[in-house]
Amino acid sequence: MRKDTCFRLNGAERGVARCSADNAFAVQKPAAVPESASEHDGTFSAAIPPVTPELTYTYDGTFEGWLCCVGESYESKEIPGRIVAVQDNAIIHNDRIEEESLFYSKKIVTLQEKAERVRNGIAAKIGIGFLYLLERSFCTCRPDREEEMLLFTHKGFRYGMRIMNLRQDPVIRNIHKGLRDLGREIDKWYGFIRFSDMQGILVAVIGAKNNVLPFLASHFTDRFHNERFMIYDENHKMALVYRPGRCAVIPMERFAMGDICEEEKLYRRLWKNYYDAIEIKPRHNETCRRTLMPKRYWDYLTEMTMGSS
Amino acid sequence: MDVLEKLKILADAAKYDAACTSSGVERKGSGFAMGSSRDFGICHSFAGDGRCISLLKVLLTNCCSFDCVYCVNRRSNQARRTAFTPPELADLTWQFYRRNYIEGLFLSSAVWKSPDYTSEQMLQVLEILRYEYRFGGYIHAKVIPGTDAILIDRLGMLADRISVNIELPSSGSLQKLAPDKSKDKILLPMGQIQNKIKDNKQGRGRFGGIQPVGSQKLMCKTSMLSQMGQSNHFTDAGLDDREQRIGNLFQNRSGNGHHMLQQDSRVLQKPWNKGSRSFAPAGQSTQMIVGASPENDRQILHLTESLYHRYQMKRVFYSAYIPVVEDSRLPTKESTPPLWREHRLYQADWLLRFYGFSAAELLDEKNPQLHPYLDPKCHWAIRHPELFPMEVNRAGYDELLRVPGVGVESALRILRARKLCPLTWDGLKNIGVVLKRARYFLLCKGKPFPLLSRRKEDFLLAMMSPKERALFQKQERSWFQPSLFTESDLAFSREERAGFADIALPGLDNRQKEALECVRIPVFG
Repeated sequence: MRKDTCFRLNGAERGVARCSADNAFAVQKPAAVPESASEHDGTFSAAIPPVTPELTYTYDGTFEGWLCCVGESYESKEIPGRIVAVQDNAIIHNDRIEEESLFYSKKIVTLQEKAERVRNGIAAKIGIGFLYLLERSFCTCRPDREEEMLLFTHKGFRYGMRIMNLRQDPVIRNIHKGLRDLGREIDKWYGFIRFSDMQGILVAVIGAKNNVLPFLASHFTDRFHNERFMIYDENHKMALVYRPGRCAVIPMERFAMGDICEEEKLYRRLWKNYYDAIEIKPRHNETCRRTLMPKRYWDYLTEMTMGSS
Repeated sequence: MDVLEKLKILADAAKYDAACTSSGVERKGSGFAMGSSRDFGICHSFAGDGRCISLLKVLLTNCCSFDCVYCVNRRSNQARRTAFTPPELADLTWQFYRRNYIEGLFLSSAVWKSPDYTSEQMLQVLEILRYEYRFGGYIHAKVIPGTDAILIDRLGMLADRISVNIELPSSGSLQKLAPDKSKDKILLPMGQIQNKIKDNKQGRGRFGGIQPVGSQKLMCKTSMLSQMGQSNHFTDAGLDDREQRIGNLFQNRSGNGHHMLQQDSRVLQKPWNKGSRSFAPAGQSTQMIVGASPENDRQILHLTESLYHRYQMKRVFYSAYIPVVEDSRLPTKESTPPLWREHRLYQADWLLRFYGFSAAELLDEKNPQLHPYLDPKCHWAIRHPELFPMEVNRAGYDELLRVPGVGVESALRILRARKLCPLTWDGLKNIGVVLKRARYFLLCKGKPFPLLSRRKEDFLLAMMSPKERALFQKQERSWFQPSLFTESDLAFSREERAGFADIALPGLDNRQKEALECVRIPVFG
């Protein structure tokens, strides 16, 4: 599978940074961290512009759009209090549609060249790893992720990649929290996805909190290299589809699984049987099971939705 | 008997094996095969007892010729006996794997006819999976004590992890409870496996090692020949059998929808795993039963430690004894499994593996049992007040690991964060240190935690987890001041506390009570 056929996550790999005079992100040396602790409050925020709480940026909800917000913020030396996505004239903030009027807002138009320039700037000044972190953070379900990521980027420009180790800073901590949450959910879905064989195609339905589909791709395409499969995410209305050699994450409004064949029913029954048999009854521990396998996953697990035989 | 019923019986018989991990090998999927393996391990489900289901854990058969007293499959126990045929089990594994139910196969077996016969049957399953289905997932195989060395070699080449159960913590108990097994029969294969892993690691690479890269067929022949030199046990039949099977691969490739390979000269040269295969790449593990025999925690921990050192075990598993059969040599059938003790042993096991503790530090002759209400690390810290408080901005990694409330992850984070600027108490909290415990043992920039209560009761409360506090309250109310534990302290509901009744928890003995009463609180500043 070629990487770029499957969700453009690695755009940064293509553009090794050019640093020309007109580049807003011309290389500067990362600032030295103050030696003595009394000189700063431990949050490393002295060097970035102050937040303007009443200012709002609106963008189109894509990662490129968000990159343009970064460019705008950097060029006009300001940090907006809110960054909201506007899709079909509806304001989306924290994944909810809001109706308030935007009295003091800037509309950020998504320009591919500008996004590319910001990408290159980040890759050159902070490192490709940072861009990768931003892409991951963008897929989390954390409230206010756009604003936090903007602050995070500003700090990154100022102090470089080592800012990631500064966990005592609330912004960095929240970024870490979001990333950890995403990573954990990805790990859970690695295990909890249940495929059904539908005439030779493997089909699974999941309901994820974070946008995990792009990150599931590499694992499952590697493992089921010769199969054809589809993973449908109910919550994000997206599907990961794969056939040998091609993989894509596509939007899909609805999907319903059809009738399942006898063979599939047999294996489901076998699995359910195995699941029931493997428990050691004197050690039953519901709390432990629910901690490790929270109830929101149960709707998608064959063994939990089937009644005991 | 159909597969459904067989699976029920044989999974039920296999469930007392504690290990179900799929970690330790990172193997990418290859173009031909289905399956990969991730080194962090993946849990595919969690059973009602909260244990992870990662592998399809079954016995090949539960027909047993041994008579181990503690075992549900013992010869003298009245139970329904059955066996999988190798193709049946291979197909089941394959189908489960395809649906992402499992990460691979955990194959164990009762001793059917003889250890060698059983191992050959197990080998057949593994060969079908690896050579016919080109299965690239994880396989854990059990070695039956008394199996011939050649068979162990072949098992290790196909499996990712192999394990020999040590079963009981001393040879005396083994003699009493498992008369067909002996210390030598268990330790001998362990040593063999360890040597084989070591040789294989040294020899791997393009020109070294046991297996020349890219000549799978040659490898079969040469290793077989050398094996035949050692023993007459294994005749040419085995060799022919395997070659025939590989040959069949070409003939049957079009059928049965398992993506058989195209006829291609590369097929024979490429084993299921690209490059040279290695012997049990995920290492070996073992398991022992706790609570069926009279050994104390100290003996168990020392045994564990020597297993880690001498045999380079990846893991030692403990399994709380669950009474399944009535026998005068065992605890009664009504006794509850010692889950709490098992939990404490696992905590101590982690300290041995990741925190640089030794068994002798944790327990000595005067304290042969792990403390019921304090975890082993807290208990150790309380006994060593001379080391604390520790300046968090200067302490080394090893020292930080000894502080209760600081784990491997947070110790590393501290090291990285303090390169940027000195840490403060607020910063420590954000880093993820459990301040509730750690604040008694640390200094930040020379200053103790502000407004820290030095009362002994507060200190002891901070050392216990909510669960431990609830248990402590339940059992020791009369001894410890009852006013200490208000209901609001306990984040546990009534049902949950009722659930603790099942945990066989020993009370404090007098020595432990004394030790708790005269605890020395690290006072400073």
